Amino acid sequence: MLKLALWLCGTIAVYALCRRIYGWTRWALLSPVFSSMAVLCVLLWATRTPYTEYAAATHALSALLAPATVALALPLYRHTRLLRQHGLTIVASLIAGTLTALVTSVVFAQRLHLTAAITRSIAPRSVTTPVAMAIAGQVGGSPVLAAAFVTFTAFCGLWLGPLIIRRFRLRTALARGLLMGMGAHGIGTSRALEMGEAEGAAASLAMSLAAVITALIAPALIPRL
Amino acid sequence: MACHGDLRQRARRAGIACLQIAGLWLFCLPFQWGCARLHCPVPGSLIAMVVLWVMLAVGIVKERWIGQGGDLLLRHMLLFFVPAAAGIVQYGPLLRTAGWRLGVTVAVSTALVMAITGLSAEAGAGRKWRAPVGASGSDVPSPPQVNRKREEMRHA
Repeated sequence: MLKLALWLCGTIAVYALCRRIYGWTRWALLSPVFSSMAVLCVLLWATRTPYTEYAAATHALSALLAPATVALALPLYRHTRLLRQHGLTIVASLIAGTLTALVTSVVFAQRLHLTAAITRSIAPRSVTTPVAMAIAGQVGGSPVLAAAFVTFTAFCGLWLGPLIIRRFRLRTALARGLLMGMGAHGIGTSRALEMGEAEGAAASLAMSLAAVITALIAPALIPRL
Repeated sequence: MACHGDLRQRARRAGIACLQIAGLWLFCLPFQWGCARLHCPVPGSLIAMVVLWVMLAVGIVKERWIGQGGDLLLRHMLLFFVPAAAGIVQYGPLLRTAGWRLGVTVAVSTALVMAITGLSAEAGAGRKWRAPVGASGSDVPSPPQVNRKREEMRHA
């Protein structure tokens, strides 16, 4: 019991500290979720704690993800008018993004001779974890592996997103938000909220629409690739 | 005495935020339960988010009922991802055997996804929809030069 409480409080403390350091440096690689994960992985490894035990201890935090996702309705509501104005652009760019995600993941994985199980699990990596796990199961991949690739994708997106925004000089909040939500789902959405609330609204919409679009087209598309 | 009053105010605000978070959680439960029952691939929390958005837009739910708790959750959303992210610790052997190939696949594919999504959205939206200055979100574009300078500072 004490151990469980210790892991829970420890996670919050590590996060608080990492957030403070990120606030000082603003260095993308030190994003609180990234550095907290690294610190906690080292702690888990050093204390030889099985991950299942840690996951049970921190269940309260993971459980808050659901109300936090629902709370994304707030930025969406505050920017409803702007999102409606660009409905067609949003849907078109998200379909383009989803197709790119599915096709490039599978093709690169095949070219690099990764096993079929990995290829099938890596395909839905660009959507939020529960959706990716369900789709991986449907197309004959492993849901557990898919969850790992989703996390890995989020880290890549967290690092690449701001670079791409700068490289292509993307000025509109719509484009910035959509690419963060499409490319790095939930974690990207929270990063987009740091850029601004309009970016956060676009990213929330991108994350949810990407989940729907992927759920619709992935089961038909992946077996053909 | 002023300090005492301030403390009470803060405690009251924290209490309201907690109640609102509990409300959001309760709102989400039936959707999660229903989605699990119906084997819906899209998670219940995302459907609940869209339903709440519609309810806010129509006016059934008022923003002030959930605003404080909701904004608190959004500010610390990354914390809720940390336990799941630490799950990567289980994939040590896989990362050792196929690590760089997985890394290349995911990184290159993510970069392409982001570039294509961002560029098509930028092309479609034109330069009309700039980042609003305040949280309230006015869609009046700011003067281009000032805007550009601010953008560069933001990414400096």
